[in-house]
Amino acid sequence: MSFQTQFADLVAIDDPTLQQLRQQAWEYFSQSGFPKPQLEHWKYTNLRALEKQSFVIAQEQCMGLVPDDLEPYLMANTYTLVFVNGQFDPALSKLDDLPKTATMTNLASVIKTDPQRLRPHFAKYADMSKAEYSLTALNTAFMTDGAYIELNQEAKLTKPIHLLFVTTPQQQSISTQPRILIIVNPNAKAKVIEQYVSLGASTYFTNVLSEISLAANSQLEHYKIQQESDKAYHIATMQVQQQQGSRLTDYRFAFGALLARDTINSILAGEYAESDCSGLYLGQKRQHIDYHVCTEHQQAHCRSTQNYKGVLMDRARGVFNGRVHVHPNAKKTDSQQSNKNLLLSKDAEIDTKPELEIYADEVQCSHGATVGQLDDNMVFYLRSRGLSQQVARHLLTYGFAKEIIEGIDLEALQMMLGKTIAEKLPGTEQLKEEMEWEY
Amino acid sequence: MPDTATEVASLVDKDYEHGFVTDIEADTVPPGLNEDVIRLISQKKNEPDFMLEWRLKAYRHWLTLQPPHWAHINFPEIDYQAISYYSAPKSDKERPKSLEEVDPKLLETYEKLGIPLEEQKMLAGVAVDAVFDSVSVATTFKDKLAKEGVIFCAFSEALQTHPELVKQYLGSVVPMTDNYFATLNSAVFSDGSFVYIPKGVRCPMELSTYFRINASHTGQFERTLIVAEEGSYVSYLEGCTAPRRDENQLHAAVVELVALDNAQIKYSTVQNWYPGDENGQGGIYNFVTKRGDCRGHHAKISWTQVETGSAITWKYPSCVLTGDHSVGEFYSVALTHHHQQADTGTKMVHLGKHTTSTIISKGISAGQGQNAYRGLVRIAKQADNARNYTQCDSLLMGSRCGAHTFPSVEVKNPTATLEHEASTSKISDDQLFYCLQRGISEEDAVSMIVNGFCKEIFKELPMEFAVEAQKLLDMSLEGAVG
Repeated sequence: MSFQTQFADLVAIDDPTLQQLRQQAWEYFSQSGFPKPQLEHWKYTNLRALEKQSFVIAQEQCMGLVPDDLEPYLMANTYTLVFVNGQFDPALSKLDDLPKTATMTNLASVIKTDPQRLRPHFAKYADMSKAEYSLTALNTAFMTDGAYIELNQEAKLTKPIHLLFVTTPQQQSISTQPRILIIVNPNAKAKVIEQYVSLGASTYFTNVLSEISLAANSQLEHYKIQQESDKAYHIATMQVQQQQGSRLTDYRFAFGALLARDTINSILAGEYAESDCSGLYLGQKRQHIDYHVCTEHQQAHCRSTQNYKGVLMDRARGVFNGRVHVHPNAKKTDSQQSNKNLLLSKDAEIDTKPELEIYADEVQCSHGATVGQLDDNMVFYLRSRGLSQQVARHLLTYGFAKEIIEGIDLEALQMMLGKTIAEKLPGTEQLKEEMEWEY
Repeated sequence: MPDTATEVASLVDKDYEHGFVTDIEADTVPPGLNEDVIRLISQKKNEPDFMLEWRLKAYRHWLTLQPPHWAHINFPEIDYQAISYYSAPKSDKERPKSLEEVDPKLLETYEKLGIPLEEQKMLAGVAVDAVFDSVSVATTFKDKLAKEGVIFCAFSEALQTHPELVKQYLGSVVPMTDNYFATLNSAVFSDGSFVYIPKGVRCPMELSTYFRINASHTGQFERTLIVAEEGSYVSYLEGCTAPRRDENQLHAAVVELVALDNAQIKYSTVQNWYPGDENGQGGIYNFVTKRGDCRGHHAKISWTQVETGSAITWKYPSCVLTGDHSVGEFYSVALTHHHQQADTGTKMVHLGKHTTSTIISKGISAGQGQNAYRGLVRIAKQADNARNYTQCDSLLMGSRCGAHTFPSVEVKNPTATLEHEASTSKISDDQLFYCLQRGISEEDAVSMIVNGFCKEIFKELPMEFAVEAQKLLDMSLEGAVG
């Protein structure tokens, strides 16, 4: 079924403003369609295969899931919101003893009961008018549910918030359009973990849009873990608006999906704002993983880093595009960008584009990109100490990837990620046998 | 430092020294572009048939193309029908046999530029194929070169004397359908240089062309072709100055280099065309396609450029590393001041095994200049053990200029090793203070620091060129810092 017929069948939203927004979004999408490779931002990521498939908008959520099904993914000591096929599942979620200083709920309920509350931030940051952001328009046209998180002024949450998006196998290929809105008010502080998992090996399409507003001196630690099925298409767009003295730390990990694309746009709209973005992509088989990261320095004295690493195996293809845009009055900008890649197979490919666009003079900006393979000398060193070729290569690759998770201060999450990374890399079995070592 | 800006402003902006128009009657085709004009150009130059067909084919293809817009530059749409596509000094029919016979006004022009031909001959031992607008008027040192078997002549002359060589290599590196401006050039190119170095010959002197855009409204469409046979070596210098003009002039040149087994080509450019005045009025549009093909094993092509002129510079001297063990190099200094815009860089396409490339690019932006480095390093699947090192540094002077870096890296082979580094900064107050407290004036201090910043590139230039480049840089930077 085409998106067009499905859009016509959508139940109208009661709130006229939102319904109008949705209509507008659909117009944008129907004008430009899926982004084409002629667009500079989509040069290396062709969505033809995705476009050719037909997806059904997930309507009914899959009933009968019990917490045990989600056991491997649930994290202790978190507030958990579980979304099954794009829709909130209160039974599986864990929202006991919520603090009074914060709101964590699903978007559908806010749209229904208090749409006024969405006005100041909702759809205010993510651009959907340009052809390259047509998937943002698609999300806006079909948005039904997602997460709504708001921290009051001075609120400091002790536990992280875990947003778990689960897709279950269906008769037809489904598409979900989750939407996340995170509002951190002045001086508040939060940690959010966003995780995408699949309970089967089906083909589906996740198109998520996150909008994040960080008010003055607020802090957000954001983690995104993408573990979609091997046949899934995953498109994620995150738009961050940062005010004075606010701080964003973003970690993202791409493990799954046949085709995954993450777009991160963060706008430093106040002085002394800081943005640290880092990520890791592990590509296997025929995976295609694309990270597009853009940091806009609009004001003076801001600091940003982009630190991304990729390991590409088999026939996988990695794409990285990092951009730092320093506006004319963004004096004293300090920005560093780094993209390092390991190619482990002769059929793997990487296309990287670290860009700087600078219109101010008192700035310190640097960027670096490398592409290479494992150092033979290092492999030799380990082999001379009795390790097999596979184990030596495994350890060196793991060491390369591990740098990204070192800064994470949630210990359980860090261990989980370390384990996931290690298991994705070749040589884990040998390591177990030879060294009797498990992560 | 910004406080002194106004004080120094008085020192600002010496007028463009080389701005003057030599009043010579030119044989100019009326503005406009159609097949008749192309036939006329071809006929005037008495070209062989294959050349005319080639031009027409290019023209027909050009009609199907749209002007590109992806570069980081702004300029009004160019009216291609308002340009005159051919201009030759009248004295063309009675070609001068020696320098004495050259139109004294021409010589005067060169003297004003500080490069009198005679002096140049003795001083540097350089053979100068001076192109004055579209037709070569004086070619020197031919005999000496002929003894070695080196062919160094105007393109139109090569078409008469060595049509088979031209036919073999023309368009083999930059095909006529390559891009909008290269296709236009293929259709209407006026003249340029042709160099052929036979097998095993080390060219005894540095070859050099000084050319200027002269007649008003005449776009200059240069075409240069350099072929280095097995085991040969050549160093080619290209330097340009253009008289002051208030209208933008289009310059769309094509340069093709072919290096066969073990051959080496070194191509150096100092570009100092009229950049427009301090308000961004006038200036040359320099849209150039330059590409070298390392066709043989162990071939080497090295581009060195110092770009201080032109209102808009849009060029990417590139290397296609086809042969195994071939080497590509790109060294560049690009300076933009006032309203100048530069979008420049290189492409290194690694096709052969064990190929290496080095890219060192230095961008300096002052005033409201916009300077972009755009590069591509592509490692093809079969290119085992390829190696690339890229370094792009930008220096910003003034709060309204911009420096941008758009490097692309595409790797399809796991044995490749690539490094890319870039940094952007301004002249640090510490550096400046250090110089000032030793009694060096601010202007000199800035010039010293900038020259230090560019030193890596200047050392790649032939000696006399390096001196000129340094002078140019100083001149272009005058009043840039306060």
